[in-house]
Amino acid sequence: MLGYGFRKLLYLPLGILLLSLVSFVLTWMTPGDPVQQRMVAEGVRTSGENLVAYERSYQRLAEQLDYDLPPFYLTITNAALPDTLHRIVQADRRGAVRELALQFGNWPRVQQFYRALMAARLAEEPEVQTVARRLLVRSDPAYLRQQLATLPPGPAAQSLQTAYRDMVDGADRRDLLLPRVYWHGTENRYHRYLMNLLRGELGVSYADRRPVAQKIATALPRTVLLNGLALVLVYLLAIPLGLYMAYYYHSRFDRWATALTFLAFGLPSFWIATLLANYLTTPAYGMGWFPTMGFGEVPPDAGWWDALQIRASHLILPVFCLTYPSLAYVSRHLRASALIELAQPYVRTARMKGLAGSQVLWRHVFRNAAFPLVTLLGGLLPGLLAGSVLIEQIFNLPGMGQLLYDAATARDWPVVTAVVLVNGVLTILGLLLADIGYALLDPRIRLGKLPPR
Amino acid sequence: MKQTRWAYGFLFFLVAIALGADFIAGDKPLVAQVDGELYFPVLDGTPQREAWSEVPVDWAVWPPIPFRASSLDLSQPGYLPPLSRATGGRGWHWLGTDRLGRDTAAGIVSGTRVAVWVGIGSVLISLLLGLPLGSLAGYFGNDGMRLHRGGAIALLMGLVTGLFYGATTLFALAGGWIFWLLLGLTLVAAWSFWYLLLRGIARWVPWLRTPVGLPIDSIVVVLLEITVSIPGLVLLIALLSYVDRASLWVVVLTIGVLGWTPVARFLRAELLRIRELPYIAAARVGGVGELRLLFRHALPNAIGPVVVVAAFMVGTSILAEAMLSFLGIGVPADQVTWGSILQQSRVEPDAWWLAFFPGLLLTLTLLACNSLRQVR
Repeated sequence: MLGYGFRKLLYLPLGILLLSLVSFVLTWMTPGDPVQQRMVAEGVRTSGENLVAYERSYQRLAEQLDYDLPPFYLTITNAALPDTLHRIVQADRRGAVRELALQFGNWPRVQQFYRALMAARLAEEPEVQTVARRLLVRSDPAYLRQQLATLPPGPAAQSLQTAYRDMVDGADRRDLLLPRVYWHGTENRYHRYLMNLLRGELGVSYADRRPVAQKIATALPRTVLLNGLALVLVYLLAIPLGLYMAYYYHSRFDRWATALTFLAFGLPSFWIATLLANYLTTPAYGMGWFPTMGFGEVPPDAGWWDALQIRASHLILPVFCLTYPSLAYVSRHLRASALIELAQPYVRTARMKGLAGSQVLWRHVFRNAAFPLVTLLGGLLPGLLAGSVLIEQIFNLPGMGQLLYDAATARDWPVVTAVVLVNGVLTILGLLLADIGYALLDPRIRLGKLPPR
Repeated sequence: MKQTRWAYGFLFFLVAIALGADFIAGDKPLVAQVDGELYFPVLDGTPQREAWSEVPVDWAVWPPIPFRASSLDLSQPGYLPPLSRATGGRGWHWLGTDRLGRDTAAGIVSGTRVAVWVGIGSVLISLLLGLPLGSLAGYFGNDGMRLHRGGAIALLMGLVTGLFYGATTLFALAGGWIFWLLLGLTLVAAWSFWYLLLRGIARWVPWLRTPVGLPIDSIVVVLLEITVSIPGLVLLIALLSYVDRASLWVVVLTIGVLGWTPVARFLRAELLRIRELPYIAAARVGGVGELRLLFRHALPNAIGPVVVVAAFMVGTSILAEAMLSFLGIGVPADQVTWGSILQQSRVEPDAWWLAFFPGLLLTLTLLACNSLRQVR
């Protein structure tokens, strides 16, 4: 058993590694310039007045955030491109230089031209300045030539035009046909990201400059409480319901319960939640029986009974809305598998032995019919987490779902990716627990005689 | 079958509403006579007039709900209850209005169109992904497709090197369809190169000649498990928040891509059962090729239950779309859907009609789809 659990535990680091890759790619894909968004969050003024000061603080922040490092351990790229392209942090400039390098194929000359542009953008003549700043983000040769031709004569313009002519004359596109692999070692962004992740640093929210880890640490326990309560209730209620539905097959009880669970499974929980929130938490219909928002404030001197009452009055509606669809689903599953078990010969044997009905049901049938329930747990977890996005939104509970929703609508990417990551880890943990629990219940799995599922 | 008759009926009713949405709700008359000339404004859209309600018509036949889902009516106080007369005396607000005077019934008709379109579109995408993966995994299993080890390695290496070269150099050289053409040629060339090379080596290395099965089933099962363990809605919200301009296409695509697992899982299970049946063995002995066996003999027997699963998935997709538009994520802001009407009821709990009617339709749709699954 220990060996089996250990083997399963090995999947955990693997899954987390995979998830970290996914969430890294997500941070990478985020629209907009991450350094600039961070500058806004940090409160650095981004006016175009003083370009030099702006770019200096931009560069400093980029270095601080590791954006001047290569993205991954290795870069697979075209031989015409250098391994230092990532040092240009601004995406539009990097794109333009990349395009130029792919057009002319001769990196040293392209680099010269880029340096000339960088120098000219601080030149004394204002015309040269504006043209250089414009050209830094352009790569279309016709446009470059036309803009360079309009420059007034002078040393700055001269060097710029020479650099451009050198680049065009030195065009050599043979390198384009070759691929090249660069190895960067551990000095790369993903490595730093992963190390930060392992230390529990998830970045800083764009919205309010608080560390993401801190935001998640306040939200996660609430979601876990909500979903944990729902999960416990689901299993506490679904097991007897499902078993007795099967036991009294085709009785009036079974028919009613089947119809009700069918209905409950079809009723979208967010609709019911909306109705409940509209009618039972507002005075609109004279039925404002429940408080509207949050988890409730428990005064420090309250006894446990008062504290329980306050919490319960806030949690009863959301927990109900989270519980009933899963309850219907699990009990129907259990009914189906218990029906199969009840038809087995060993049930008849147990009856002939003289065991009472409830003994047969709970000792013999339940243990065999319960296996699917454990694996259902693994599938329920992602569903519950997703469902709590809406439930938390409707009942104003500041948990993970609310956090995700707020972050997604405010385009607060660090929070979005971190929430996806944490959700993924929770799901992996749930699946793992389900697998181990399954093996605990069923020795056949441990011995590798039956695939789990 | 008898139990599911109402379900089929209801779903056809929804599709009919979606197809005929312009004839049921809209601010253009079906037929109108202006100055002795007949117009069919819904059908042809010409002549372009600002508002047909202002045109002095000789006579006109209006749709039963003479409003557009998104047209505001600020001349009235808002939140008109059901069965109230519209201002200007033109028709009735059968199911009331919202704060901005948008007709709820028209919104529900437009929401039906969105729901049907999302449901069918995303399930088609799921089928497109799930059918090939499921049938390959189920029919061929882990050893149904056997190759010499050299051939398998050549396939893998050809894929890796071809994609590698394509991504690094071809991408820089060409764009558009030329890129795809070049990429295809490169893949074939890389594969052939490795194949010929390994064939040559295999003469002296018998290890390369031993046949191995392609582990298609294992790969598909791992993919299935990964996809199932993704909290779908969480990922949907995260992905859709990356999209700059919300559009229904993106919603349909993401729901469809995330939803391929039930189809694949079901088809795989069916084919695993069917491929062991005697009639397949008989056909194989009769000399029928493997692919023909799959398409002509195995798949037609497996496809029936899969269609039922697909019908069930229409319900899940519609639910996902309703959840997303309830949250206001991914669906364009000016698109009226069931979810967006439901969301508005949260602002004004007194307007029960905004919460009741879209939710009821959604529930009926889900129940109809679920009951198709139940009796299979």
